[in-house]
Amino acid sequence: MSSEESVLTVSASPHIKSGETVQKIMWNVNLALAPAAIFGMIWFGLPAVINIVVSIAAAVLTEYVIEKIRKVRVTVRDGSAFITGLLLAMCLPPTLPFYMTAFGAVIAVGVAKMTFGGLGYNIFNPAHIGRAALMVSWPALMTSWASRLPSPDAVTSATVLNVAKHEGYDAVISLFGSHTALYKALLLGTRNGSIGETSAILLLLGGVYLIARGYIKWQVPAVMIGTVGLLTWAFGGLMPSGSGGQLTGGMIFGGGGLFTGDPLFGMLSGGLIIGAFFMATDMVTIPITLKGQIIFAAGCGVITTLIRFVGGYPEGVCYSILLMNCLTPLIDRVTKPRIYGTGRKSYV
Amino acid sequence: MSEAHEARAEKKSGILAIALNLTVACIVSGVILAVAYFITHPVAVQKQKEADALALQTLVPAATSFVPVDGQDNMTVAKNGDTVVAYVVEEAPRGYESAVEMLVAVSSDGKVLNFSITSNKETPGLGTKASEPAFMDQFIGKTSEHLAVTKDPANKEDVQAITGATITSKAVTKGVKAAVDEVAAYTGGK
Amino acid sequence: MKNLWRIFSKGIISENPILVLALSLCPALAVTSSVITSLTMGLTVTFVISLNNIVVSLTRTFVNPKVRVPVYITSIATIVTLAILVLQAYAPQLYKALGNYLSLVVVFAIILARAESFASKNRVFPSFLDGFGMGCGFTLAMVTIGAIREFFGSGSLLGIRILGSWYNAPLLFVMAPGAFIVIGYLVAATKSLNKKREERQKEREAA
Repeated sequence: MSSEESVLTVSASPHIKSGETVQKIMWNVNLALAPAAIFGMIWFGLPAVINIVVSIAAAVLTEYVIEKIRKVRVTVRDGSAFITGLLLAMCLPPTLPFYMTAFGAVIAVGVAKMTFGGLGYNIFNPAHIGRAALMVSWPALMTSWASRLPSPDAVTSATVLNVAKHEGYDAVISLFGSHTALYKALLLGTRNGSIGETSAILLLLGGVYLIARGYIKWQVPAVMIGTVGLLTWAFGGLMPSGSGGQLTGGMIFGGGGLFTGDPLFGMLSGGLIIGAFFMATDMVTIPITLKGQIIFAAGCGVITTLIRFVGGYPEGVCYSILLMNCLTPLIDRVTKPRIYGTGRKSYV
Repeated sequence: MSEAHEARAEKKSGILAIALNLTVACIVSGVILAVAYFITHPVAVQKQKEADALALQTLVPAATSFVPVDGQDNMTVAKNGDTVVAYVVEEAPRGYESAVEMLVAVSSDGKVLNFSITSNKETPGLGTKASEPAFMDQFIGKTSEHLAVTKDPANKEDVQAITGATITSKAVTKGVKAAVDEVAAYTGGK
Repeated sequence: MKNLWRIFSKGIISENPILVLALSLCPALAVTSSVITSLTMGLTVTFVISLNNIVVSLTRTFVNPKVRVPVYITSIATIVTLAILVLQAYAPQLYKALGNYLSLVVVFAIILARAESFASKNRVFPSFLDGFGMGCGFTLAMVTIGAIREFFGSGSLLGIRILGSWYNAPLLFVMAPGAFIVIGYLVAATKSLNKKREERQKEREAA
């Protein structure tokens, strides 16, 4: 594996030398994630702290050991394994046993990143591969949640999207009391969910910081979240809740007709905010050009919504980003900028 | 194609030779398979019968004879002497992966006596838990109205869904309920 | 004698059908979630490939090259059907476990490939050895994949529980993605093994 430059040159022209290093960018991303992670630790308590620590330690250690065995330069200080561990933990239910978290982190770094050649060569977002591996391995534990919903005597072990998927939008509203109470819980993060996905406002804060530093383009999260909001608003009121073909309640995202879905609920719930700002913008696994990134983000939004509407799972952010990661080389191919002076479509 | 092949292709490539070649191959193959089938088929049928009988016997240990029901090709009556012990119904409700094939033993007053899942291709570790006693024992003694899936742990009347395998739980419950209802329709109609 | 050994042994590691030639990956993914199904599939393929190589070699002077592929396929299909009939009658449980994949043995590329590239040009005994060696290599790879997947995915081997009830098996290994990952790493391991062997051979020749 070569030096850090190889990562930075993966960008569209013009190539301007700047003071940015991989290390600096990565630690800034960690900083941006910190508020939401700290909130998760406070809100969910000790289990969340343990999971975050174990996940980061396992991710960093895996990278270190593999690089030692392969006798190549040890790159753990660039902070990318740290991000993978942190992001993975933030996408896991707080109650997951810690050895499972460690397993996910080892798969994330060992299989999804180091096997492909290390940072800059991985095809898929490592943290999401880790999460997907855990989802396949222990599906029951990966979908059971600590009870932090407002009324403990109601449905105790579900996220808001779970409730919406199985019992309908009205059940979600009655759980929180009112629309405003629901939005407040979604924004502040005082609800059930994965460790770091609950607090929309703190994640947005971190996202805005990264945009301000110029590390990510605002268009990517905006398009992804916007697509989900638009589709939820347009069709969310038509999607029946329930499972196994049995209608159990009302519609998943509201009303009962076209353009009656609740876009705000769709945009703020689940792992959409953390996925859109921190995973769909991972510079290694998404297309190079802005045009390509917008196509990528729109694709993520469409697949996320489709999974939420008709898939077996209530949430689809992880799989949508992984699926679009597969398409990245193809998107790069069709959005390659025209070489100056050549005709249109010269890329074919 | 190698050179040797081509050389031989030159030598005898008449359409008749080619046709004859393939015909002979097929005839030989047909004869071999016919002989093999003649030998193995009776054994296979015998084994299948034994397996079916064993499945019925384990399901209703009290029964001494099993008689197929006329006009109901998925129903068998389990008898001990002349008394009807149970009606065994075959069901194949659609699960998460594919049809869950099962045998349900229903008493003549419409209660679930026992059931077994003969083919379960559901997700390993989740849907396959439907074949475990913890889930299956819930059904025993239930009547049609309580054959519904619940996720509320406080509800002791209905069937508790398997965590992470709601679709399979519902499919199995649907199958058992269908069996109970069919038996009710059959015995009621008599 | 040494030559015959080489014909037999090349299929096991240096030209392993699954791990080096990357043929017949379908069964390597589909039926390797336990050792017993892997082994049955491996033995079935070994039986089919050896017998088919004998048949193809025996008939190589009669079969018209223009219809050789249909004739080979007829031969393979006959042998596979034979195997299915026997399994159905004498081992119905295994037959059920292998399901549709048994009929698919007919179109496993490795079997036709050996008939075409070896048996149709060689005498009967070497052809048998070639098929048998390839079959053994196939079985070895299948059982290795099956053992890894069953051990980590169910905590057991050959259906016998080895790890205690404390072991909360990651289902990843039982499911298809686990098969892909295990095969990937085994291919890498075989490749590095073969590379080392070649280097050693070169050194020996140089010395």
